[in-house]
Amino acid sequence: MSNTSVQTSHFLLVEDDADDALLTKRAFEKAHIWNRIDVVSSGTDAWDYLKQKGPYTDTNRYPKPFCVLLDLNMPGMDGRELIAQMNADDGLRDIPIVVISTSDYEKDMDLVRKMGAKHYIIKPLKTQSVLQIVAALPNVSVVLGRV
Amino acid sequence: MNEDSARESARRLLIVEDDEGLARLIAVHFRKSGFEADIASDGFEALRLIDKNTYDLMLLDQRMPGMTGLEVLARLRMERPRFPVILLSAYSCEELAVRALQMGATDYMTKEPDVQFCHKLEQKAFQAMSRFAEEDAKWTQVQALRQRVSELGCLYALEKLFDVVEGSPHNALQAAADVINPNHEDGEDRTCVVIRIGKEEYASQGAFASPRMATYDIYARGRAIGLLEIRFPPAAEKPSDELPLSMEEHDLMRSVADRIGHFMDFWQTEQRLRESNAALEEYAYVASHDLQAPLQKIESYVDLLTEDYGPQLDEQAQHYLKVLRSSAQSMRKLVRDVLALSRLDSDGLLLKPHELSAIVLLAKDNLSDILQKRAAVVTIHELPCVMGDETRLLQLFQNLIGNAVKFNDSEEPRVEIGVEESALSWWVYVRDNGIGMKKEDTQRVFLPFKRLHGKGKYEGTGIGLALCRKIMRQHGGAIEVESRPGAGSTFWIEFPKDGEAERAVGGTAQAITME
Repeated sequence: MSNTSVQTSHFLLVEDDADDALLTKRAFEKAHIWNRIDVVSSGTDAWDYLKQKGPYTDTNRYPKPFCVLLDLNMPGMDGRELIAQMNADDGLRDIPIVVISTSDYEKDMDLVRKMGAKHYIIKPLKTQSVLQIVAALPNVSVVLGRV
Repeated sequence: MNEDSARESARRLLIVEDDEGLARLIAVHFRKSGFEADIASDGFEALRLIDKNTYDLMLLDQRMPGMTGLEVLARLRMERPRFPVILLSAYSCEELAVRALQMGATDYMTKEPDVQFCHKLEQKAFQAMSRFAEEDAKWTQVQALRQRVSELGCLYALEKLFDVVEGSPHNALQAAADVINPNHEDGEDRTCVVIRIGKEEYASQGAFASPRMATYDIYARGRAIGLLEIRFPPAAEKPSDELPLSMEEHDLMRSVADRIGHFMDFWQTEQRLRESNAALEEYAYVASHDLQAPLQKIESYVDLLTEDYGPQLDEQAQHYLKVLRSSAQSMRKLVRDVLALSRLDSDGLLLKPHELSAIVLLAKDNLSDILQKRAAVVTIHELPCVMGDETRLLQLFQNLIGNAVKFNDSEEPRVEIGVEESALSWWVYVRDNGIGMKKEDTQRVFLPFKRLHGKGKYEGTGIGLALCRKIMRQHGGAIEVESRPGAGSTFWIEFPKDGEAERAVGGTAQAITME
C-alpha cells in the first residue's frame, strides 16, 4: 500500500473545539485511514461547505464529502439543527452522518438516532470506533497507508 | 329543660274559624287543658297572627269567607314557621282530606255537632303535635343532611376543580369563585364571591362591590396569603345588618378558604419541585457535557503525550503522567455516577414485566471482563418475573454483582443469586463470599459517597449502593444487607408481587451456572 494523494472520498469534520478535532484526526491516522478530513468549526460553516457556498464555491477543492463527522454541541447552529437541515435537502439527505459527542445523554442519542444518524460515538474517538465507522459506510474508497 | 316543665309550659293554639260560637267553644275547651288560644276569624287575620306570634298548633277551618283553609295552608308553606295544622271541615270528604295532607296539614277532622267533638279534637291535637314533633325531628335531620350534601357537593366540586386544572392556579381559582358562590342562582339575596391571592383577584360572575361581606383568611403554611370574600348586596337602610349566613354556611366557607389555602400550598410546592427538577435536568445536561469534556480532554492529551514523547521522558515524568491520567479518569467516573444518581429522579420509569434471570445474565455478561480476571463463579438460580424498568434493574444487578466480586479477597470469588418467596413479595438475594462488613455499616453503606474502605484498597466512588437503594425505592421495594466481617454479604432486594408480571410469563427460567 502506498500513501497516495489521489482525489478520493473525504470526510467533513464539524467540530468547534480544535483540540478535539486534532484528537479525532489522530484516531483516523492511528487506524491507518488516510482519507482527507476537512474541518469546519461551526454548523453554519458546515452548511456553506455542504451547499458549496461562500468560501467553498470551488467544487474541485470542496466536493461533497461522503461522510459528515459531527459534534452536537456547538455555538450558533448546532449539530441537531445541521442534521435537520441536511435531512430537508434533497442533495444532502443521503450523506451518512456520524455524531461524535461528549454527551452521553440518552435524550441526545435517541434524538439523533431518530433523525437518522448512522453512528453515535461518545468522545474520545477510539481507533476501534473509526474502523467500525468506515466498515459500515457504503461505497467508501478508503485510503490505507503505512500499514 | 326537663319533661315536666315542657308539659307545664303553656302551648299556644291558633283557632282559625269564621263561626264565632264554635271558635269560642274550642278555645274554652283547650284553655282548660292549659293552652293559650287565639282566634282568627279569617285567613288573612290568621296569617297576620302567625307572623307576630309563635304557635304550637293551628286548627284551621276549610270553608271561610275570603280565603279557604287550603289557601291558608298554601301560604303557610312559603317560608313560614312550621307547626302542626289540623284542617276542620263541615263535611266528610276524602278528596279534601288527601289534599290537605298533601299540602302539609298534619291531620284532618270533620266537624260534628256533638258534645264529644271538643274531646276528640283535643285527642287529635295531642296526636298531631306528637306526630309533628317526630316529623319535625326527621325534617331537621333531612335539612342537616341536605346541608351536608350541598357542602360536600361544593367541596367535592372544588376538589375536582383543583384536580383537573393544571399548570397555573389562575383558571382553577377563577372557576372556584363561581363554584363556591353560596347563592349563585338569581334571587333576592344574590351574593358574589371574590378570592384574593396576593395582588390577584378572582371574582364570580356578576360580581359587585359592597361593604357587606363576610371574609375568611386563606392560609398556606400558616401564613395568610389571601382572602375569601362573600359579598352581599348593600342594604340601603341597615348597612350594619347581620349577614344572612347560617352557621353551616359560615363553617362551609371556612373549610372552603382552608381548601383554597391547601391548594395554593400544594401548587407552590409543586411549582418549586418542577423548577428544581428542571434545574437538576439542566445541571445534569451541563455536567454531562461541560464537566466531562475537559476531563476527557486531559486524559486524551496525557495519552498523546505518553505516545509521542514517552520515550523522551524519564521514569519520574512517566509516573506523573500516570497520576494525572488516573486522577482525571476517577473524577470523570465520579461525575458520571453523580449524574446517574440525579437522572434517576428526572427520567421516568418504564415499568414492564421482565424475566429477572435474563436481566441478571445480561448484567453478568457486561461484567465478563472483571469476572474472568478474578476467576469468579456466578451461580444464578431460578428467578421470578417482576415489574420493572430494564435499564435500572440492569444497573442494580451490575452494581451488586460487581461489588460482590470487588469487595472480595477470596482466591475464588463466588456470587449466588436466587430468590425466596413471601406472601406479598419476592426477595431476591445476591450472596457473596467477600469481605463482609460490620453490623453498624449495614445501614450506612447505602448512603451516597459512603465508603467503608480507603480508595487505595477498593476503588469506586461510593455511589453504587445509593443508586441501588434509589432504584429499589422507585420499584416500590427495598434493599437490605445481611453481613458479618469476613463472612460474606447477602443483599436482599424486595420486589412486590404483581399479578401482571406473573401472568406475563408462564414459568421461571432454568438455573444457570457459569464458570
